[in-house]
Order: sequence, then structure tokens, then C-alpha cells
Amino acid sequence: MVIFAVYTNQIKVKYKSTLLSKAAVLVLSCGMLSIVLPFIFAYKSGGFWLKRDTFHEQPQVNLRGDYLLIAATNNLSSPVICSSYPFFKHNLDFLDVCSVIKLREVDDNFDGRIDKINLDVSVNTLDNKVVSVHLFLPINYKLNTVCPLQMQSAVIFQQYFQTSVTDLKILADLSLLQTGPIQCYKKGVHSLYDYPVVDESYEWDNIIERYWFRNISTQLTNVYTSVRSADRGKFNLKLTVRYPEHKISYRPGFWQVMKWAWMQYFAIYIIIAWFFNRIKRYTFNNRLVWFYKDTLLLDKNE
Amino acid sequence: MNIIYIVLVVCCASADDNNGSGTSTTAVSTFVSPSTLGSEVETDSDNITTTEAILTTTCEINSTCLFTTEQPSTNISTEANTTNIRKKYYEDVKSTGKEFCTCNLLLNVCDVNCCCDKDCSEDDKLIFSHCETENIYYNTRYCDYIKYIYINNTPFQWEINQNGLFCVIRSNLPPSIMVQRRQPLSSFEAAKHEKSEKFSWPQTVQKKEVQFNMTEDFIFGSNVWIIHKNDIKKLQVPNKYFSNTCIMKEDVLNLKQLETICAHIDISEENEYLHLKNYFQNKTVVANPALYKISKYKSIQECPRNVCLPIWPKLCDKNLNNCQNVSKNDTRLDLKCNFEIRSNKNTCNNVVKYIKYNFVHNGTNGFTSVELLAALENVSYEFDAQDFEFFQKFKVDFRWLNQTRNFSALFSGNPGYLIGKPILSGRLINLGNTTNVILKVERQFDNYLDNFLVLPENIYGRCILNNTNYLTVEFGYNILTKCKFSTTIYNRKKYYNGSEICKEIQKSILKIWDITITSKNKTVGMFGNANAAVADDWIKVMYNTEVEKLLNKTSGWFNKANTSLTCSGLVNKLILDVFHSRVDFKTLLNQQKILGVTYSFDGFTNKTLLYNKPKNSTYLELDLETQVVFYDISPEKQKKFVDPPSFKIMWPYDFFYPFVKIDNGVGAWSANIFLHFVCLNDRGDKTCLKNSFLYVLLVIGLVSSQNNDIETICTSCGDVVNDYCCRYYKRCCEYVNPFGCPTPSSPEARVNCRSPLKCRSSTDCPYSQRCCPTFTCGDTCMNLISL
Repeated sequence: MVIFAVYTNQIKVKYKSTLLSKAAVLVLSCGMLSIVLPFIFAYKSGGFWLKRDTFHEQPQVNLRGDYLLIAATNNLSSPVICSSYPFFKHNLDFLDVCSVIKLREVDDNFDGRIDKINLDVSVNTLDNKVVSVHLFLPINYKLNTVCPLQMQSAVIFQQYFQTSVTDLKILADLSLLQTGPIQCYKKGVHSLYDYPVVDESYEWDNIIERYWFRNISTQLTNVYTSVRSADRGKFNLKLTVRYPEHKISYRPGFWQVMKWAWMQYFAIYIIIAWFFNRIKRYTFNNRLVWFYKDTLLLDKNE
Repeated sequence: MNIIYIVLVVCCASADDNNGSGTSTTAVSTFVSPSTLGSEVETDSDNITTTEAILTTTCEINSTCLFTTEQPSTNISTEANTTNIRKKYYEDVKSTGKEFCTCNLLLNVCDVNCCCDKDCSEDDKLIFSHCETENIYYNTRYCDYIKYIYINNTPFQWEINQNGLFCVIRSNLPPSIMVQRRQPLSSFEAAKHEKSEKFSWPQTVQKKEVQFNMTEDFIFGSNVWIIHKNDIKKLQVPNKYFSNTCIMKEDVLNLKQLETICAHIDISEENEYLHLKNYFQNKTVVANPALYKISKYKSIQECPRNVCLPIWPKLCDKNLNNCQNVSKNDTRLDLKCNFEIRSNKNTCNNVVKYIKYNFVHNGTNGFTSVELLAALENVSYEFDAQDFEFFQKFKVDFRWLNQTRNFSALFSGNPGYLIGKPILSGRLINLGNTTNVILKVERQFDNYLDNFLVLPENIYGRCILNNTNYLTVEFGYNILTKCKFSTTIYNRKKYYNGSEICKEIQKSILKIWDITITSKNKTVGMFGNANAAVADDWIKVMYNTEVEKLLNKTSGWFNKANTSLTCSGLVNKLILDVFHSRVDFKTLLNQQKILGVTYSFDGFTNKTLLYNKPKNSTYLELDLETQVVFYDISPEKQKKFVDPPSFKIMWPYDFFYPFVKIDNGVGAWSANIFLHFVCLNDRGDKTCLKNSFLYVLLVIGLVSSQNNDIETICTSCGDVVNDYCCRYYKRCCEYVNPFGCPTPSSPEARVNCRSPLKCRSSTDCPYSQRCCPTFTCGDTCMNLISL
């Protein structure tokens, strides 16, 4: 009759030795090393602790409604300063010669997030020629998913012209500029920069310096401009800015860091533990250290 | 059970099977996407070729579709057949079955390229090049969305640019309705509610003009008021915005220094800002709004002079120096302009160039006097295409009553230097004699050059150094400056030796760097608040070559005809190095301290100069360069323990109350346990261990005799006792107590007693401390112990 293994069972063998023996030291050191070495290897090979990570999200960007357009002209005493800020309204309103400001916030896919803006500004320059343009549009910038963030930022554009210009078309993308990862809060929203970009000083130098100094800000990238010069007393500015998905760098939370570390540690631990297991097996099989076996099988044999 | 029936699209590649497609397409009914219809597909009688690579799907009536990928083809269809095909193409594009035609935007007129427009006849459609894209308005998840756009009953193959793999052909979901807002807004309030948190143009709030308020306190930042023609107005000065032109007015605010520079385009007598009279005539300054309130005059003319302060004008030179009072009838007060048509030139005299208000105040009592310093200028320019800009400068200064102009009182930091502040300098002098040296730093209080390190300023390329023109060396900022130095040297002493004249030339060069023979005593303040009375606050400037030696090295000789003079060894480059470090000053961290200043003369050159024999003079022109570099030599901070750190754990003083006496009569017994950690800062060397062992023995000995008996303490240390202080553990203990020194760990003991700083000289010690004879830094040293 054919005989085959219908059931298998392992026999447990206990290798016993005294506390202060070579066998005990060997097992203890192997155990310790198999725990410590993976950590050392994982740490020394770099990237053990995940200190920053990234995610992609299309931000929720809304114009705050204010604007500041400064255009220098060839007439030194007549720059164009169009603004909704009270400071300019009270002090320099006579320089506000913007006739039409046309704005459209476009939500292409009706997902509730603005995908792009179109801004058309028409300025009565009369006989003056525009030689430089500085545009400032404050925005509300919001991230909602991985690392909620709310801040006030701006769309800032500056251009100097070699010759006088009557039509300026700008195409650009809004991108996020970070000097470091964002700190995510478990509860609540990161709102460190949720304050007006233009606050006290309305000098253009101060506005851009204050804005530049921020750790998180937005800027226009992928900028293409087209200029035209026509003989008429108007200056037209057409700006189209897309709000694409942004890559946001953030500081991971505790459990994400631990998960990442554990994966690395465990991957190395398996190899090292197997290696030390082989050493222990070899040592005990070849009786390189003193011990005695305690097993049911041996008892029967004896 | 809800089931959504879907159609599985079977994929099979038959890209290259052009011949096959020609036969199969006639047998199938397919759809054409709007984007590929007409414009992008050109057909001939047998096959279809696309002008760009597109993924096409061929669908049969029984919903079995085929994908065919066609590469851009260079095959050009036969032109003759194209018109016929097109004709058939658009004839068959019917709009039947469509509920809407979104591209129909002209009533009763055919919209070009709007294939569903019922106003378009079949003939009209012949001019169409394509059909308007409009499928964005339909839900593309459903297979039958296509039927809303097109119904194909043509013999031709239509192609669909289908992006999805599946589409829903029938849904058996329960009936549903779409909840959406379609009712018109019923009220204004509802409309207003809808606006919230959505974009809207900003509503500018009208600014409330600040009115004169008699109850207003005289505080920093409030407006300064002037009375002009029975009217109280804010004091304002012109200012620029973005361009140089004076296009706005800046409010002068109380106790807030202000400086503006802007340009006027309109240079004429009509411009009120160019008249000096307009700045002070018939104008008075309200000394304090509260005083104005309590004064009992009836009209503004009767306003007393302590309430309505007159503005006293003074005419000065262009740098506002050498000011003189000006009378009301002075002709210089009148601006006069003259335009010459022939030369197209405008000339204006007595135009205001520089205005400075000096307000003197007495705290809350308000202003006590107002002074107006002015500089006038004559302007002349030609009219041309470019506007002429005439720049004006306005400055407003406030100072306390009895406050005088004193540069020596200006600190550059307290105590450490602040970035950007000037470097204090002075001259070290000996008030005593050669045996009894009493050093002091001398600084002339009203001379800026005597109080701070300065370099010559480049004015239109020329090196200028005087009380008004100088380039200040600012802490932390490296400088590289170049300028041309020119001077005429008169040989008044009639030297026949060229060397002597060249030495004079060398002296004049050094003088432009504010270096003289006496400059060997030049010192700079180590801290920003260096005290001139304490010589140790100052550090002497070091030179690579002493000034006297430099002059001795300078030589010169005349040519045979005595018409030229050749000088050798003239310095044209000065390198000024400042070495500084960040030090902790008691509780203040990272205070900048200057540890050394060096002057290096470089770029020695030979120069041959023309010598004017009749006048006995020579003229020199030399390009000078000055370099300033700040070197931060702060070492990495390391905390080193002079003593092993110890933790003292004590029982509460009344812990063993019934068993011990705790009054002043007998010293209370207390159990002290010292835990010592030795050699934490050292590397376990034997010396440290030995010292630590001795120290532990010492501590044990002290613990056993724990009391504040000065004799016991100091004698046990093998030290001496004086009436002021004693050395403790061979260190300087500074506790001023006639009864003796406290223990180092007691709260009474100063920090210096507990953790003394070792030193070799006073420069190693923090600010205001000296290196005591015990080689320990201390606020007060015992002079009884000589080195």
C-alpha cells in the first residue's frame, strides 16, 4: 500500500545553557544585533525618517476683488495708478485713468474651483506711452485635502518695455513657491499667511519686498507675453492666468513617518534575522558552544 | 436589483488593413465625432485617410465596435471627388430628433457651421467646413448621447473619438430628479444673500478727513497742525510715488523723523512749493492742541506765541550749514523766473532746494520752537522733449529741549554693535604722565569724522572728505570704493629736496582717509556703547606700516630742469579689516564685539608730476581705492565647565524640626548630598581625574564644616582675607560683604564666583569685566594681589 505524509508536525527542541555561558551570550548578541543592525543599515543608507513628502492638489483660488495697476509712462509726472485700495483712492485718485476693468473667473469643469481668470484692463493714456507695467491682484488661496492651508497671496506681474506699448497680452500659470515644507495641523488649518499682502505701506518696493520675504507665496510661471504698439491713446492689458494642480511639499505626520520607517526597518530585519538564524543553527548543530538539549524525542531515544 | 447594462467594446487592431476597411465600412453603420467630421477627414470613394493620428472606433449597428488606429498619411485624396462627397456629407447631417440646437444664435438666419440649425437649407450647408462642437452639454457617460447630436442614416462611415472604454446604454436605476436652482430670485435680500462669499468689486470706504481736535494728546504719531489764514491744517510735505514727481503729500507726524525727495516738473512762479515764503509766512504751528484749547484768545490773530508758534526761517548753504537768520524783506525770499524765447531757456532764481523743519519739544507740553532751515538754488534749463526735473528735499527733525547736537552721545548698539550702524572711533590720549598713565579716549562731540570711522565719498568721481561729505563704514557691510584724488601742493617752504614735497603729497593722500601722524593713537569702540572715559572699552587700530615709516619711505626727486617731480611709494589703496565676534554679554546673547581693526596700505605707486616753478606748486591726480572687509571670527560656542556640575539635594530646613535647632543661635544641622559628575568636559585624562578627586575631597571637607565663616573658608583654601573680598577656591569672589564671602553655591554668591571665566587679559572677558590678578574675569578686581 502506498504510504504518504498525511500530516506533519515539528518537534520542538530546547537548547539550554546557563545564564553566563557562551551559548547565552551568543543568542543574546545575535538577538541584539538582529534588532539593532537593521536600524543602523536603514538609517545610514539615508532617508530613514521621512522628513518631507509631497502631494498634488488644485488649489481653490479666488480673487479678493482688490487690484493695483501701476504703469509708468513717458510723461514723468503722469504715471497710471489704478487701484481699489483706499490709500490710492484718497491720495492718487487723479492718476486713476483706467476706463474698463473686465474680469472673469472661469470654472471649466464646474467642480467649484476656479480654473483660470481672464482680466482685461483698458487705460486712457491719452498722449502718453506706457513704458512699464506693474500689476498686483490679491487672492485667497486654499488647500483642502492632505494639508489644509489658507492664505492670502497675490498675482504679481511686472514688465518693462524697451519701446512704448499699447497692447499687452500675458499668459501664465499660477504656481506655489515654498521655501520649506508646510507644517500640517491635525485639527485646523495652516493659516500663518492668512493676512493681507498689502497692509500698511503702499510703496511698490515695500509691497514686493514684504511679499518676497514670505516662506509660502504664489508666483506666475510659464509666462508668455505678447506686445503690440498702435497709435492711439489707450493701453490694453489682457491677462489670462491658469490655476493648475500644484505640487505641495509638507512635513509628514508621526504615523506616516513611522510607517515609512517601519517598512525600511522590517525589510532589512528579515534578511538580517535570517542570517543570524543561520549562524545560530550552525553553532548549535555543530555544538560549538556548550548546551544541553531538552526535547521529547531525545528522551524517548534515551 | 439594479443593473446597469453596458456594452463591452471589443478591441482589435487592424491599423494597416486599408483594403479591408474599404470593404467593411460600407457594410457598417458608424458615427462620426464632431471634431473629426468634415474638417479632419478627407474621403475618397473607397477609403478614408486622416490628416493626423487619431484613435477611431468603428461601430456596427449591433453595437460591436472596432478600433482602428491610422497614422498620418501623405495620401492626398482626389480633389475632384471631394466636393461631391462633402455635398453628400452635409446633406445627411439632419437635425431631426434633437431637442436643442445650441449653436443656433441667429434668429431666422442660417448660422454658419451650425449643422443642426433649421434655418440652414441643404444648399446653405454646402459652405460649411465643419460642425460646431457642442457635445459638452451632454452627458458622455451614456452611449446614446450621440443620438442627440447626430442620427446617421448615411451610407458613409462615421467615426467616433471615443475616450472611454465603456458607456452606459440603458440604466434601470429608479427614477430620479435633478435638484437645481431654476426659480428666479424673489427679493433684493435674497439677491444680497447670494452675493456673500462670492467675488464682487470692492467698495471703497470714504476716508474720514482727520479734523483738528483740541482734546488730542501730544503723543508720537499724531498730526502736526499749522494755522494759515485763519484755517487749521495738517502740516504736509510733498512726496513722490512710483515716479520722481511730487504727486502726493505726506503728513508730518509728531516726533517721527521724515525725509522725502521728489521732483517738480513745473518750474515757474506759479508753483507754490518753490517759494520759500510759502513755508513760513503767515503760518504758525500749534504747539499743543491742549494749549490751543485753554488759551483765551478770540481770534487766530490773537493766538499767543507760546500756543501758535511762529516758524523762524534761516537761509543756509546747500548742505544746510552756515545758517543765517533772514528778514522779512530779504530779496532772496522772492522767486523770480525769466523765460527767454530766443534761447528757449527758463531761468528761475531763489528756488527752494532743501527744506528742513526743526521742531523742539518739551515732552507732553508740546513744541517750544520751530525752526525752518532752507537752501535756495538758481535753476536754468532749456525746454526740450524731455521734462526737466527739479528735485527738492524735505526733512523734518524733532528734538528735545536742551538736546544738543552731540555725535559722541550716539551709540551704535547697546552693548553689541548693530548691523548697519557706524563704528565708534576716537583718539587715545594719556591724561597722566609717563609713569602714571591715565588713558582716555578723546572725541570731539560736534565732529562726525572724529566720532566714527569714515571713508572719502565719491562725488562725481572725486574723493571728498569733510563734515558734510563722507562715506560711513557701517558695521557688517563690506565696502569697495574708488575715487579720484586731486590736490595742488604748494611748496611754500621752498624745499629743494623732492622727497619733502612728496611726503607732503603722501600726507594729503592719507588725510583723505582721515589718517594723520597722530593716527597711531586711533582707537575704535569694542562695543556699540563704548564709554570714552574707560580706555578698556576701546581697541587700538593696527597698521601694517606705521604712518611715520610710510612717510620716511616716500621719496622724490626733481628732473634736471626742475619742471617735473617724481614721487615714489605713494599709497593708492587702503585695506581696512574689521575683526568681530559674537559674544554673550550676561543674559544677552550674540552681541557683536570688535576684536581688532587693521589698516593696510597697499598699491604703492610712482608718479611723475608737473612742477610749476614760478608758483612752486605741483598738481596731483591719483585713483584711490578703499576696501573694507568684516571678518566674523566667532568660534563655535562650547560650554566648558570649570567645575564639575553638581546638584545639591537638601532636606527642608525644618524636616527634622523637633531634633534640631533652626534658630540663629547655633548652626542648623542639615544633610547635604552632593552629586558630582567629574570630567564631563574633558576627555577623561589623568590630570582631570586627579583634580576631580582632590576637588571631591575638598567638597567633603567643606560640607563637614558648612558655615559662612570667612576665616574658616579662606584659611582652608590657603588664601588671604581682605576687607573687601576674599579669594575663594583660588578664584576671585566678588561678594561685597564685610562679614565674609558666601559659599559658591549660595544664592548670594555672584555668577562669577560659581562659574568663573578664566582669562589672560581683559580682552578675554565679557563686556564691563576685567581680568583680575587671579586670572579670572570679574566686575571688580582685588588690587591687593599683584601679578
